[in-house]
Amino acid sequence: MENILSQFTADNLEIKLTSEKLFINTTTSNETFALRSVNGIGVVDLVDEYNKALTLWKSQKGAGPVFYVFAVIFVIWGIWSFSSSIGLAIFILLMAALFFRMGYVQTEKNKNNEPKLMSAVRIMMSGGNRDFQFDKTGIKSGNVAEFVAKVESTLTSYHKNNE
Amino acid sequence: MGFWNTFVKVWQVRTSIKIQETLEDSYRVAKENAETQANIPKIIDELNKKNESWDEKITQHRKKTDKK
Repeated sequence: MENILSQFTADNLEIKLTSEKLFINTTTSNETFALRSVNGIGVVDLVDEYNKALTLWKSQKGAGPVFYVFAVIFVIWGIWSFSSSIGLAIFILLMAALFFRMGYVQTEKNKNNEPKLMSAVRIMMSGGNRDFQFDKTGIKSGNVAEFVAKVESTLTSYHKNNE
Repeated sequence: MGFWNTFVKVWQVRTSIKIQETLEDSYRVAKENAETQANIPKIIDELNKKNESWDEKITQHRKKTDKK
């Protein structure tokens, strides 16, 4: 039986480190790495993804005020229509209320959906790199830091012992 | 229409498509650059915020591991 050096679960990421292997499970993958094939480990901030998400979020942010502008136009139109037809005026004011509601929903949705800068544990191997996403300010990020420190020291001792 | 006329028409269509694509690409690149420039302060702010606590955590764990 292999000696388990570190094991934890954080942000849909389950990691187990033994003296010989590294087991990483995510919601979509189960991967095992032999420590002899790992050249290094690092943590990177996924700035490009964050930039794209931020741009998309900003473009969607404009939708709320647009609904409000339409609502105000409909209110003015509704009040103005009272002199000609009460039925039409009520219908237009109902439309204005609908636009207000849509504007409110959109604004609240954007407030809660502000993108977060995610980071990734990067495992460097001879064949290429593998990234596993996590949040540096997440509750279990301390576990990820501990894991990275342990892999660093295990890799160093592993490569020293096998030279 | 003779061969030469057809050749010229095809060349004109191809060239106009190329010009249009170049213009679209330039516009897209300029738009992306402007968006990135606008996002930079927020990105730097987020990086500083996240890395401050992270650096403390990793340094602490590295010290702990080195002691063992």
